[in-house]
Amino acid sequence: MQLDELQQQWQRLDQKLDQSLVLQTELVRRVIMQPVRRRINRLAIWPAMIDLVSCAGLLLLGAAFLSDHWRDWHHVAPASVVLIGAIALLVSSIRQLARGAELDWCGPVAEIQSSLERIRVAKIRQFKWIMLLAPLVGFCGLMVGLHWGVERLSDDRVNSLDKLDSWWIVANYAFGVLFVPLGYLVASVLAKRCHGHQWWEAVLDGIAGNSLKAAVLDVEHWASLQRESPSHSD
Amino acid sequence: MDPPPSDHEHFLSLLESHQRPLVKVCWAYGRTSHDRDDLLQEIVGRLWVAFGKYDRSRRFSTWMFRVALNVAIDFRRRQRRWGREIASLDEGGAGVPVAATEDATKVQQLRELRELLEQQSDADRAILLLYLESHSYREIGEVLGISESNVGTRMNRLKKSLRQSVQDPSEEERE
Repeated sequence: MQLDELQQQWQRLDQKLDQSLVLQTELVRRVIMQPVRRRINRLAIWPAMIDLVSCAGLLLLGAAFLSDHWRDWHHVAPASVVLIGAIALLVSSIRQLARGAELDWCGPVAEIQSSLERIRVAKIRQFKWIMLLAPLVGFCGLMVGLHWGVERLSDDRVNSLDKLDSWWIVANYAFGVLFVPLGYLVASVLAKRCHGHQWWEAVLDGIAGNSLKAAVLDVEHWASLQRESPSHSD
Repeated sequence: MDPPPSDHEHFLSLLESHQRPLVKVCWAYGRTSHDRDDLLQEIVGRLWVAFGKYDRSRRFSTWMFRVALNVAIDFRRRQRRWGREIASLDEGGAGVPVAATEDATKVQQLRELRELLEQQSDADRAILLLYLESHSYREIGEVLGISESNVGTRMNRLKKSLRQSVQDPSEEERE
């Protein structure tokens, strides 16, 4: 097939499209009469805003807890892990929001797609670490929350950690730490075997780093397009 | 802020005179009629929001293609992320209304054109689409933000791959 042949087929498409253009005009009118910006922004910004608000809440609670219990390392350790996790998520979400806000959709395609791919890389990286660190940070959060709740409900300052089996606590911390390499390994193995379950495939590829590799390649693809390449004739 | 309502009519008239290429972008990047409707809404929404920044001394089509292609490629990316890419092409792959009396050859050719576009990467599809819309290499470069010589190189590669992938049976026999 030659390009001029393709061009003829492409022009033939014009005749076919005439049949549906009336409908499209109506659609266009409907779209611009709506408060478009608010609708687009809501879709793009809300997930990151939810991250931001939850991080800010965690930071405030964690900092308040830490300032009350800074002498007791039993409490300082889990609260610090929660705080570090919240700060990392907050920084990552702010950076993504800032990059998204900087996007000018009227910009050259290669440049904008490069930026969009970079945002995608950051999102995939964030997802991967949230999943791998969830058991550790989650357990630390549970310890902090439990102690904070018991303290608020009881009149005297009861140490909730004394009521729990210390081996159970140590085992949970160990599981949280071990889950980082083990979760990665298990996800890598399962990602190769899990076919036909799109949602699971996407999750496992995200944890195993396959999505990240693909996204990095896409960034490189758009970057290479922007780079000058020597012209050659047919 | 959205552009002021006074811009509605100006925007609509520009869009109406350029809606055919816009619909073609949706045709090239949307796999089903539902996808194409969603994509068109998204493109028009982005165009309208960005219309306030449109420099009226420059060509509307270049500006429109930039926004449309950026949104369309991002739309495809989001579909791939959630595994919706495998949704099959609709309406026999032609993606346009087919009348009962329609010439079967023409429908088949459109289906082939559609499949050919599907085989291209997002960047090459954009280049091919602009080329088929009779844009010069310079204009294609302007929309994509790449040099004219780079467009030429990629077009040559596309021509070669087209010849290899959809080779005419009679040519094969001759070879």
